[in-house]
Amino acid sequence: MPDWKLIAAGRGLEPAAEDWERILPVMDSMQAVLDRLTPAIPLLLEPIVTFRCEGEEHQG
Amino acid sequence: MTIQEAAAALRARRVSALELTRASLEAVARLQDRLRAFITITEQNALEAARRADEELARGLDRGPLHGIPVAVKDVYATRGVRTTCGAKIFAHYTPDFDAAVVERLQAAGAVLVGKTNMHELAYGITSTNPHYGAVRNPWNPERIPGGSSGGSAAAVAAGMVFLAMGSDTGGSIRIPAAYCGTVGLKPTFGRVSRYGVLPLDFSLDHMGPLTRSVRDAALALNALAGYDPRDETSSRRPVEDYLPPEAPSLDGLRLGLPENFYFEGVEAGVAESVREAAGQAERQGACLVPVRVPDVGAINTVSRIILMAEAAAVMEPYRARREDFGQDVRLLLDQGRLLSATDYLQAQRLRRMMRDEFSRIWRQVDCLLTPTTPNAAPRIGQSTVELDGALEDVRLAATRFVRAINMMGWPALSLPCGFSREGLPLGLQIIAPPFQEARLLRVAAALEPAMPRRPLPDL
Repeated sequence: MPDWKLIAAGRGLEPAAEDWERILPVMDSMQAVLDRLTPAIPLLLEPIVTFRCEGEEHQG
Repeated sequence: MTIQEAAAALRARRVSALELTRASLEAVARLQDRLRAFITITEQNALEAARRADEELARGLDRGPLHGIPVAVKDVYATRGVRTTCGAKIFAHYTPDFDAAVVERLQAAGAVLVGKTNMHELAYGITSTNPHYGAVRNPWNPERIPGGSSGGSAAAVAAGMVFLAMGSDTGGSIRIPAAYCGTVGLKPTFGRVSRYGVLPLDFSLDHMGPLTRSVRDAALALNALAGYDPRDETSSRRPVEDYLPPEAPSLDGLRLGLPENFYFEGVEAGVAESVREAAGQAERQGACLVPVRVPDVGAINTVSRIILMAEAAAVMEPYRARREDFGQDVRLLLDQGRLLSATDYLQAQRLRRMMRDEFSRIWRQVDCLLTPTTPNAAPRIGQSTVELDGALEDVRLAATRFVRAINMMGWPALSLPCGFSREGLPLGLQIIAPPFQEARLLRVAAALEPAMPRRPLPDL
């Protein structure tokens, strides 16, 4: 698992000690799911994003 | 009384818009201390709008079924000249100089806005126990939460303060309070109702929709709200339909999916029975019940939370220095979002595409899905965990377990009251349809609605 406290420090976040008790299990569980699922992502699969090239939004 | 009944009474001149609005405002005033359903009450604006509605009807200008009907909007919708707090301290003094698209459409339909409803802070939670504007209480039992984040809207509709209240739904925030408060709650397809002028929680998961006392009222609301809006980049150009179901809707030949996995696991006593009874009712009306297996909805929920946490943290980044102005639960969620990496977020959006493609195959087998809206009835205010099937679960994760994934898919879904828990609290049936099949969704709900158990609301 990533060292969430180190990442937080690097990003200037300073949650209180009691907050960490609630943050860490959530981050670890989400990371575990990502670690399990991401190897199955096809190489060419693009993310779902809303970007459209300028002008395209005026077409039907 | 429903919108349809009030609209008929208005046109028969048995009641005026002003009388309806005064009754609504009186109910709001009488119940505000008890339920905290509103953040702002727009009494003078409402009385003026009601007089205008009556004048228009008198001279033959009829704007349709919502004309002269008292409504409310969640305090996440921008309202010109009326403060819009989003349930947050950081927006306590924000007064927009424009109306959200939904507000524009309600006003164009002649609806009378009586106020802005209380909600979970930033629409980022399901309890509506708001640290800044007071805890919204459930009209069925004021010691219980109404659900959220559109808790004030659900409480206001359930308690008879307004006929219709708008909510927003990023991970169940219309359907959960609808289920907990015993109202109808409709989350339309992503892109069907404009998000313009709504303070965003998550750009790709936020949906706008109504909470009402009946299915047909939800359909009337959608008729007024649906349609393309160039100001919302994700708004759909797909033509709108007449969403009002026929008087005697038929379920003949409709294939209704009942999940064999996930949706009936870890539920409170009475939940599965109520939903299966509703399904049986559908079968007696001619529908074909189809057992189906759904993909890993738990994983979809997790990926959805990653997207939500990252996007919400991005939206709120300008307010990062004001940590102490957020409630603890929201502050923690924002911190968690900031810990996610760009790679995590993009992988989640790639997984979303895979999951959508996989889950969408279910529409080859069935026309709608039937599930519980929530695995439990409304928890107590302040309760942090709930015991389901012998396991303790965070109340937030339990409440969102059956609804969150549908936001990831963007599909329309509706919560219909379908029974009561052992403690007499309402339970919800979730009906899910393929994208842009709101008419079908509402037809199924309207067919089932008359057969669902009903009880009078306890005295408040």
